[in-house]
Amino acid sequence: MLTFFNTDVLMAKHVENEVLEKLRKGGETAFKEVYDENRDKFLLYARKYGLDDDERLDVYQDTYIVFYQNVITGRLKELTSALSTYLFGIGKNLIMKTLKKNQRTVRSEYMLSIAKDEDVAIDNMDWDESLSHEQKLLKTYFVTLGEQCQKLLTMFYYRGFSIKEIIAEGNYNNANVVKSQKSRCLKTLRERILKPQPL
Amino acid sequence: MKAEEWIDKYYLNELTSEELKAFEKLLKTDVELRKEFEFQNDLSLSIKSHEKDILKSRLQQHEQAKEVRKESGWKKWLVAASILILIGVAGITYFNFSTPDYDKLYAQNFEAYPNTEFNITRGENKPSLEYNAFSAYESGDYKQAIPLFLELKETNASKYLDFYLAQSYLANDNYDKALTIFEETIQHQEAFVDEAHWFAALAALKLNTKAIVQKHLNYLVVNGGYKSVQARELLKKLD
Repeated sequence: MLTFFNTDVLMAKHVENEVLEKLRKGGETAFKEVYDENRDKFLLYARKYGLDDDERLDVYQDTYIVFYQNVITGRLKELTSALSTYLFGIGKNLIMKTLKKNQRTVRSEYMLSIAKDEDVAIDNMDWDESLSHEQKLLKTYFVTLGEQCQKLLTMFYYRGFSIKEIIAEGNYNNANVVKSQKSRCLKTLRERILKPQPL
Repeated sequence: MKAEEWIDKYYLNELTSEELKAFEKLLKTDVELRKEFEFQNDLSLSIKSHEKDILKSRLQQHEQAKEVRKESGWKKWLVAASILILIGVAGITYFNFSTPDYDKLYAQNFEAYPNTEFNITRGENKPSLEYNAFSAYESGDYKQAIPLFLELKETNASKYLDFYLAQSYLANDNYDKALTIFEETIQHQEAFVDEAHWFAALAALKLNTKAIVQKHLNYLVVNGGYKSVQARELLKKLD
């Protein structure tokens, strides 16, 4: 019995890590499928915290984005728990933040239940909306860069790609080309911020 | 190692754990290195935030699409009717104060791009696929133009064909496809790049994806050439 059970768990884990791999590749189908699979469960779960329909959907989308960004940036490489457990772990934190933001009281029993089954380690949630002034400027001017620069900088600073992956994905000749191209992109970005054209 | 090398290696995950410790130590003492690192770190966070905006609008679109599929029969009509009433009421109450009406902005700004590539002189051209395609396009028969451009593309590699194909899709209310092809045109960096940014922004407007609209309009404003004035106007109205 025990062996069967273990095999099942292993199989499930294997399947879920394959899902992770598909998500990491940026496929649209996987992106929507995983979202849909957990959506109703989550909305039902979030109901007990007294969030209204719009808030629940909003929190679920934000939760899913945190999860997805953890995958796509390479921060979450392998699941040690079920995918939905991981997702709900993030969700709990965001629900609490929403309640706090709206200054609603949280019934202690829920707080307790959260404290108890906080079995998923969510490192650095960084779902803090407040970008600094510099970051906002960078965000504004980033989108004015050419497509090539945007793509390269995204691979470098966001996707957590290795140099090999960047070379392959961007059809570059070698690492030096990547690095000098990246320097040029940063230079352009700096210049645009220092000598802003009217937006 | 130079500052740049340290930071590159950090982002490419090439530092050994010992090097990482040395890097952290250096960050505390080397002011220049720290400044550069903070700059790049800010950039990485701003890219993340930009990507987040895109993901959010993708999910919202996905929800909307599901909603449309789900509603059927009488329910569909009921919902449509109540939305119409809501729009009516909201329109009257909040005229000028409401969030921007993307459809209206689109209608105010969209005008199909003229045929500047293939000279059509009635009666003088030899009939050819290209003649037929551009002639359909010029006469505003975009539905007819689409398959002709698609067929033409198989034998003719001119980059401007993509742009006119996307135009035809756009005029034919196929915004999704139009946006994809405009963005490809932009990536190829050959013909109609600035124009493609403008029309991509309009297609994105119809698709309710504000982040994408802004991306293309920002390009035009900074570029300062084609449609930069209109792009600035439109950006203002989006907020």
